[in-house]
Amino acid sequence: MYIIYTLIIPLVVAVICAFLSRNSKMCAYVAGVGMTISAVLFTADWYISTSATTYLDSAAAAAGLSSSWLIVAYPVIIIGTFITWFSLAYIKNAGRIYYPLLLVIIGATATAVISTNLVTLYALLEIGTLSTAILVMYRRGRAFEAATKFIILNSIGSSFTLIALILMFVSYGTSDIASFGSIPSNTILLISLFLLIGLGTKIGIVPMHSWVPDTYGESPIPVSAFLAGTVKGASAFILIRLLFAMHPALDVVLLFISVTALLTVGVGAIMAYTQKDLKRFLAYSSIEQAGIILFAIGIGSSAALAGGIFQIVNNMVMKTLLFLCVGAIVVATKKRDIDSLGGLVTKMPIVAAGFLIGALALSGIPPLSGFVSEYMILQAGFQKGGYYPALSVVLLVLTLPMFAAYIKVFQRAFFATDGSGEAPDVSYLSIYIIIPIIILSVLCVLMGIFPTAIIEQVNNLSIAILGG
Amino acid sequence: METVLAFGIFWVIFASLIVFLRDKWAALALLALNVTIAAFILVENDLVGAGLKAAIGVLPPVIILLTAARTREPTPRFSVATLTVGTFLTIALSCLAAFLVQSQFPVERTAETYVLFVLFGVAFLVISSQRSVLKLLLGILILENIGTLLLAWGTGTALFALFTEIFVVLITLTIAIIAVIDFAEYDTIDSSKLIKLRG
Repeated sequence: MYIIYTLIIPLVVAVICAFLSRNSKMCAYVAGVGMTISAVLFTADWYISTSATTYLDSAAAAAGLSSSWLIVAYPVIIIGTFITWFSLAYIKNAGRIYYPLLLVIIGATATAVISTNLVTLYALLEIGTLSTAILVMYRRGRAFEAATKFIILNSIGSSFTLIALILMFVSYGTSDIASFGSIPSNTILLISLFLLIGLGTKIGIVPMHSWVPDTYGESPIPVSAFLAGTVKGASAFILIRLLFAMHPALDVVLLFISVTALLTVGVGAIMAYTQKDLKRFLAYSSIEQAGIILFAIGIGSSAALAGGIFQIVNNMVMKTLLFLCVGAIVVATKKRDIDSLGGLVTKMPIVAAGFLIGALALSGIPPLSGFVSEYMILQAGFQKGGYYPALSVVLLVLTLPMFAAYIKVFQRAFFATDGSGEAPDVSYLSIYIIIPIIILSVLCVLMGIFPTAIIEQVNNLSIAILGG
Repeated sequence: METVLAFGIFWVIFASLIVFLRDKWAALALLALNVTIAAFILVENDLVGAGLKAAIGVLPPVIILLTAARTREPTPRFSVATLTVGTFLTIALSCLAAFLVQSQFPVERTAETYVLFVLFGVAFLVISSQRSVLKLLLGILILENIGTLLLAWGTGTALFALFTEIFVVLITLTIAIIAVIDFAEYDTIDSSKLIKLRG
């Protein structure tokens, strides 16, 4: 349980950064060091398994936090650390609010996934939403369009989530998710739909996805990377936990979720193929990924949820990697338009390799990490029977445009050149940009080649979620 | 049941007024909605809940009033006549929906079911029929009030109510700040224009 306290470090560092905000460089280093300490302590605790005092255990339990879900909180902290260091090189004039808010989002997201109390969960979700809204409008100009869309749509989504949480609280008579008993199926149906709309807005599923391209497109890249990879994944994980905490999850709800998931994959993949802007391309690809995770939820079996949770963890790594690669391209070339790039493979070989690994992993190409989780989801779909084998085939077909889009973007950005045959000039890239890209690329490969330890963890987690 | 029905009629009237009225007056209608909800919670013998709602629930309308004073309301998308028809239609359809699902809920909660369905319908009418960012915010606040009512009817805890009210104020403040800055930059708080700045 001691491990839980490492999650508080980002929030403490956020407060320190708020005091240091006049010196943005100092603030950036404090944020980076703070996140690194959190990540190192977390990793050490994970392996050393430090025993805690009874007092600390009971204090964490009283706050509604459980160590059972740390497998998802861990990547949030690790990715958050990379994002913070990447920001150091990417954000030139961070201003007063950037680092405190970034750390608040990281801390709130990591704590939300381990929260077992509805009140704590609601508070953390809202803190995340509000902090994100302010960070999105951190850059003036067109970012306000994105911020307006984000806050209005997400506030409507939050209202639905709030109503769902209150309905759960009122129906079960407790705010402790672990103590939920049984309630009438019509109440489960109502709560499930509210949850799907509320958290679905946060995840960016169709038709509540319209804020995603604008927000990811206009936010600073580190923020987009964290939102697309980690916040989205954490929200999907919270949806899984809440949905399946209500026993039994209804078949009609699961089928509805599966169809919505396919729609999300289709819209995300097709729209991604048509994009000219690198960040908007990644935004639509994140919608497609949200659809794949949602499809796992829709299947609803233990195997599917294990695949879904693995896909969430993978998506955190893969999507962050792609966003950071795009960030590196933007820093080096000052360009985001796909057609204006080209020939970068010789000038930015590490970034090119990182982008290729991320794109292939997201496309589910073996032996990379995405293959394992997507295979688990499809296998679970075929095993479930009924409509699901057919829906799994549809899912497979719908992901093809996305694969084509990744290849097209990679080819245009890194190989093709304009008529002059000249690649754009590139400037020097800081190690704070290159090192996270290298580590995340290596993780994509390692998690694909040696997935056994993670599969074991996610299998245990899915069984626990289904009350086994 | 009579108490819920009596208060419910007032809530529906105040929520419906938000559909027609200009931003400033609509904020006052929200204030009236919040005050009557606080009074209802008091009647239900939840002194802490009523105090919270009365103390914190006043803030969002005040913030909206201040924001409305610093911005200019865009031309409404629909005429008053259209909105009137829309409101009556929404209330009727919401009642029909409540009637259809009524058997799924406890008999002693019939009045609550109707009130919640109608408030839900009106909130969506506000969100879908308006251009002003502040009106959208008012629609969101009606939705949040449904949460407050559900808490009041359940075994509500002061902690949950406190968090809900605080975040409602923070959401209101954030949207209000965005509206003021939007107005300063683009001279409008018309949501249909603000989400198409890219052209």
